[in-house]
Amino acid sequence: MAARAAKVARGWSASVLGVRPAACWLPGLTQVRWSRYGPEYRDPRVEKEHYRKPAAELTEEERYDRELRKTQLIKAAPATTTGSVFEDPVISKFTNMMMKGGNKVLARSLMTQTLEAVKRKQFEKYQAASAEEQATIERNPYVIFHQALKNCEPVIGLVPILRGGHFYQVPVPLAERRRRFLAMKWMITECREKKQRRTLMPEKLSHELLEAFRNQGPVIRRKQEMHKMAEANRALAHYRWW
Amino acid sequence: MAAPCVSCCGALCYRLFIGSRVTLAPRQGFWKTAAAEFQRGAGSQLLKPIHTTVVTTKKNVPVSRHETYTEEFIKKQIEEFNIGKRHLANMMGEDPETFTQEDIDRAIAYLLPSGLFEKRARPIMKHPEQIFPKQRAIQWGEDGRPFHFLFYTGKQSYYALMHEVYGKVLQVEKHQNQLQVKGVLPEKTEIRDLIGSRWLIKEELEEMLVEKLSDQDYTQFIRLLEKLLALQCGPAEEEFVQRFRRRVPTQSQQQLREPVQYDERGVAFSACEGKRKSARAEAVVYEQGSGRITVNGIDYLLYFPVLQDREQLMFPFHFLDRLGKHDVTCTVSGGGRSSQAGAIRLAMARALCSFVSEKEVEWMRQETTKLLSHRSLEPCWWADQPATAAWLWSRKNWDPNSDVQERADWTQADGCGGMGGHENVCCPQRHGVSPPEHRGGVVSATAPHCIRAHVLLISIRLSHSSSQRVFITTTDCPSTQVMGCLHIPVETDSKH
Repeated sequence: MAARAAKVARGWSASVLGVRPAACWLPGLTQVRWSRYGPEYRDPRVEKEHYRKPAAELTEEERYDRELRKTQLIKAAPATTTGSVFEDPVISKFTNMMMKGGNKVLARSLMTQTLEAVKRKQFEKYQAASAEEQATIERNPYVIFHQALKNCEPVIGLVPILRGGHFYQVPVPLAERRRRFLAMKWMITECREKKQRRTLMPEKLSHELLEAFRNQGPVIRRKQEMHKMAEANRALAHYRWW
Repeated sequence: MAAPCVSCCGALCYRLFIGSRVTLAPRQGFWKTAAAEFQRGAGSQLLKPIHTTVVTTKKNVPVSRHETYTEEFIKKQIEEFNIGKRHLANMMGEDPETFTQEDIDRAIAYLLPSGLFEKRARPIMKHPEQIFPKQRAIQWGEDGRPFHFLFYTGKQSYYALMHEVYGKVLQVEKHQNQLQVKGVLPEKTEIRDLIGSRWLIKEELEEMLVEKLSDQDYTQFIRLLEKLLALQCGPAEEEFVQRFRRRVPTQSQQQLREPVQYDERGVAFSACEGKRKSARAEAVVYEQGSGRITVNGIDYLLYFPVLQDREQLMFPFHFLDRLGKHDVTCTVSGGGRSSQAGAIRLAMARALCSFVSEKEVEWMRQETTKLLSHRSLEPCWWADQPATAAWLWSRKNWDPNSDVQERADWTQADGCGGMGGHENVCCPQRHGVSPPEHRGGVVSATAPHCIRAHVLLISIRLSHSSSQRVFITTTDCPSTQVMGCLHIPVETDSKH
């Protein structure tokens, strides 16, 4: 008697909740940057204050959310998140964008040197300034960094759209994350390409950040050029269909 | 695969008839006639008259997809299973009355140890209900008229169920309308615990109804049930709906808490392992301490000069507000700087579970699953090389003993092992073999016999890319002959 191979129920329950097996190969299609986690895995929340809140202070929604998460599978936190007070997601993102060839150590040290340089410059200015000016000088490098990047974010962008065999630059509103990305990208490109031969990155970057903080400098100019072009091409705005 | 019952001495005997082939027949009468034939057959090879079951060897006949099992057949299998279970219990020296399925599994694993990596290919002994798929009895009577009024829809159980549920929905709506007319509105009942349970998945529903369903059928059914739940239905309907829900376990309960141990000085400590990528760490966390961490005998400040790694070590303690309250001694090996830090982090988090309350364990899990192991590296089989570029197996470099450990990890991780990426690897599923292990500069893997026939052709494609030495050895023909007949300038080892 040849019994058929058993398709036991627990065979599929393992695959329903669990790590996705790497067996999806399709000819001609390559998967790029995929995750071993299945779709049922949720992202982790790292802030410990969120968990320390007593039950009385929670809203209905938060309570429900907490209960729900008890039954859900959650991904592991990546090596860059620590839940420490010194951690800043914007700085981490910027560091990663500055990184070349996976050299996180170098990128991070450049970042800390940049922030130190910003602080020093501001401090010198502070020392040299009079009393009423001292109130206006910002010395916190993190605040300067955030404000500078915010000043560099474009509001509207240009997208090439194919119509009648020609590509037209159509003005398009940008998503939040695209704006942040463009600001950071422009800043980094500017500092890499347009600097004197012997200037180091922290020096140049701190200089650019301070200029952007004051709404001056090449990065701000680039943003304004982008806005002007969008304004010039506003007749093409109806080419956009989304 | 052998029949589910383990045969042993005594009443149950299965004898093979060499050269005789009998196909499975669905009808009952055939069995008896077949058995009778065999009994009349070759003299000394007769079965003992006690049992008339016939074991047939089906050689080179593919398994028919539409095999049906009669009720008598299934019943017989169940009887044999029960008898076999008792025999097994006797063999193992245990009480046949209280022999559970787990005991059976353990006994089979002990008596018939198997080194096969595919768990489903190992010998199993389970109740026939779990092995033979459920089948439906004949749906019509002798006159040819079907029993069920929805037979001609094709999916009678599914439509009957939908009909029932919709009937309930209408009933509940009618009841609510009546109450509204009277002016007695029902109070808002509490939201039921929908979090701890989930709807049946499509496969489970199919199994319940013994019918094939499409995805749309399934979604329609779930929508209808949700609609029923949304209207406040009475307890009878609730019970009905609960039949289609399954419990979902709270994940934190699956986390094992290591028991606290005490060393010779009476200090409490807890030891746990952790891993990340190919790094393996073991951490011993002492309850009393001042926040010193020693890694492989070296202070952590010297072992991890990079700040990011030290932050990772601090992470579990910082999260639980226990910085500076515990001493840790850990050993770590393998992997790189970052994966070692991650492995130690995992080990420390697990060890801390024993000192910490249940609630905090759940927080840790939700916050990061430092408690689950992080994902491991995928083999980079899509990069650069065309899909037909193959991996090569070489007996010369194959170490049968070392493979087993790696492969065990691989099967546990659902078929994707922690392997270093290697470009010259093709999709393993084409050959139906396990992915190779990359060692040094030679791609080596275990493969069944069939793969050796492909070695010749495969080697050609590797020529443009292999700057590594490719050992082509086949047991079928010596490699010198192979290279001679191909005349291809492959960059191989000089002796070829």
